[in-house]
Amino acid sequence: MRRSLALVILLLSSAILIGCWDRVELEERAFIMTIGIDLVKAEKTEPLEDTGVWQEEPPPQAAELPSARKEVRQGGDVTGLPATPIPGPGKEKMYKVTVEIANPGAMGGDQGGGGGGGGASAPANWVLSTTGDTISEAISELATRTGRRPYLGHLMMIVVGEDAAREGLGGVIDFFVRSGEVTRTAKFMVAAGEAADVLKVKPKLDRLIAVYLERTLQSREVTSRFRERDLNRLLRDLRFDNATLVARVTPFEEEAKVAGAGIIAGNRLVGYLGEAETRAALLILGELAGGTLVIPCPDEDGGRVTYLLDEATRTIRPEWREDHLHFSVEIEMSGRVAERTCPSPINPQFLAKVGEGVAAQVEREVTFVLKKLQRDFGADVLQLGEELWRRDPKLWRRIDWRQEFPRATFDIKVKVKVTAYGQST
Amino acid sequence: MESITPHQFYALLVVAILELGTIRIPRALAEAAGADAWLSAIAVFVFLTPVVLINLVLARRFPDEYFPSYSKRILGSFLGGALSFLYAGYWAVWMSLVLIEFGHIVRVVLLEKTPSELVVLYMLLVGLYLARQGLGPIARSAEILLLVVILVVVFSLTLTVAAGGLEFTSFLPFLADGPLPPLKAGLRAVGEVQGVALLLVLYPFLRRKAQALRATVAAMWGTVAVIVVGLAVVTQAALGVSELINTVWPVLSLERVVKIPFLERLDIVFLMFWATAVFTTVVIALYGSAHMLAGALGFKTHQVLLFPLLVVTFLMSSAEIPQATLEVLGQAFGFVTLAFTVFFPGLLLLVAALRGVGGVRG
Repeated sequence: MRRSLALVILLLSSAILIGCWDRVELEERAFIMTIGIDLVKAEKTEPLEDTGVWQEEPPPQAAELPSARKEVRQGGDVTGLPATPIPGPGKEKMYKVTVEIANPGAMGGDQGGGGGGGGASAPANWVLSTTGDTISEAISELATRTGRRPYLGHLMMIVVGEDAAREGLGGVIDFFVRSGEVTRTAKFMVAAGEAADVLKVKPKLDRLIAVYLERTLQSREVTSRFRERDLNRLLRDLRFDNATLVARVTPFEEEAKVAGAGIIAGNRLVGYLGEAETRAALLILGELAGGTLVIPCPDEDGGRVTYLLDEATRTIRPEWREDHLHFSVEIEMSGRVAERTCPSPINPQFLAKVGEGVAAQVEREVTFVLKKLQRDFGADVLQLGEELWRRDPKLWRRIDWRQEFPRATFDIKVKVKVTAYGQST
Repeated sequence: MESITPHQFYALLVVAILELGTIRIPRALAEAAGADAWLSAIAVFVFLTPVVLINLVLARRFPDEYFPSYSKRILGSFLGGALSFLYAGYWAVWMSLVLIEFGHIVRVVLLEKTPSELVVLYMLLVGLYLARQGLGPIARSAEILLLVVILVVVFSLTLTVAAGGLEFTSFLPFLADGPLPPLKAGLRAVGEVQGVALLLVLYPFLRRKAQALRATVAAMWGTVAVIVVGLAVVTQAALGVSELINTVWPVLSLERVVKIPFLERLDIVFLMFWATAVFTTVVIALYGSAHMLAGALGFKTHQVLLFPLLVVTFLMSSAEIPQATLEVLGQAFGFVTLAFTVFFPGLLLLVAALRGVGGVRG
């Protein structure tokens, strides 16, 4: 009995005492929900010895934007591609980290509603910026101003500003991967402009930017205008060939538009795909989940037919043809007519022509995107290299993928089914 | 003599083998076998089968005799005693390595400021209390804690699969370089599975020895293999091979891929429960170590040796070993393990057969 009691006391004391050093009350934590990362000119820093003299500011140097082709020269590991140096902000620049801190006291009630716990008048979030040579330094700096310990366990969004993304993502991502707090479900996007501006947006229906952006990303199946990447999927892509597509967010005063995609190659942002281009890219990636496609009415002038996509699949077959790589891409789409603004009667012939029209447009769009990526960026963000590596590792090893990708040819075949036309004939 | 049931024998074997190596092993396999890492996880257990059998055959040759006793009969008093001493040292070092790594993980994921020595000390103290009572209480605890371990594995695997982030293209290309790389990777990782040699300590206590083989098979293939292969497959599908080889503790990274409302840090929940697996390993290794030492030194009971062993283990586990060095040490320790799970039992079996010691007559 005494022994059992001793064991119980020992176990209980361990449960209570072990975490004392790390005990942080909830109200002492600053819950960071969104992080925006930008690049700014390096500030004057205090010298190590306090001589009362400020250090000389380093001479300004124009941020060089290396040519896109050079970007795609790095790579992963199991594939035999050479490793990538991790680009950082460089000496003349530093990171400006803008964070959205949630105010749990003001979070009661419905989103956008009255709020509870005395939160009706208090703002639900606090957005502030700090700078540092590295992300972790900047986040540590936050504690000097928030009076609370930064906590990243609930981080939902990572937004990287255009300049920082062009400089290199390696230095940005490393902190998040190494951190013991950040989960891999945090979403990642690039801002067309400054990430800080995205965090300044005042959404009408949501009280937190993080929730607003998360809900916007959830509309993926309705729009198919962007590519959703969380930290885990981003890492998966980048570890292979340092290339991927990520959602682009454009900030306005009261809204942020998530549409289009940032082209990441060689771990840097090298350009963008527009909204329709992103849709075509998603199709090749096998990630198109829905959305609409508008085509001119078959055999009519002026009218339009809106095709609502239900499902899309694609098959890619790589092969070596004489002196170059060739990819056969077969796309199968299934959907319905969502809108028609022409007098043509809806009958099997009409639906077949709609299908042909959609197929022709998709083929055009896909061909255009492939050409653009090959010619302008030389960037395999559509993971065709990965497809080749998985399907034919022997061929993959024989060739220099980065040389072959821009020369590769494509054969696009699109089959479109129009299965329904709604409640009106 | 104390005794344990076949089910307790099974539970003890499982919880002894499952430790931090289990959450680390997918990375080593992926480094060596690429997309065929999951196959090499299966290969590990194919290669482990003869290893387990050697230990079991040796133990069965001396059904009611403790290892320190029959090792002296086989090799002579001095060499036999020295071998028991070596086993005690091997398990003490293993315990220390497990505890150092546990301290690292706790510091990185959970308690940044709390001295890991304190976490380790508490674990050792509770372990000491349990090990003092003998194998019976340890066995009964193992039966209960095994449920916790299995539940946490099932829970985390189910959630990861349900979260829908698995990409089965991660398993391609299939056998890109033929079957040799996954086989080699599996063979190399046999040493990473520690705790098999504890079978030698546990066997004499087993009540119905006819069920030993069944219990061992259920432990190794029915449970440990299922858990290790399951974690390897899901980790590979969720992280992808290229990312998998860049993670230090892949299974913890796997837990960070899942997000449930109100339970966003699943890695912490997993770690809290996985501490159970670490604890049981430490207790059994502590008991095994004391048992061997008592036999080697001619002590009647293992109890007096527990505290000195705890002190030695605590001091070793308090060593400031950097994470990178620990990884290298862990790999090297795999070869040491092979000596204690393959070489020494094999040697004892051979010499015993040649000298006609033990066997059916006994």
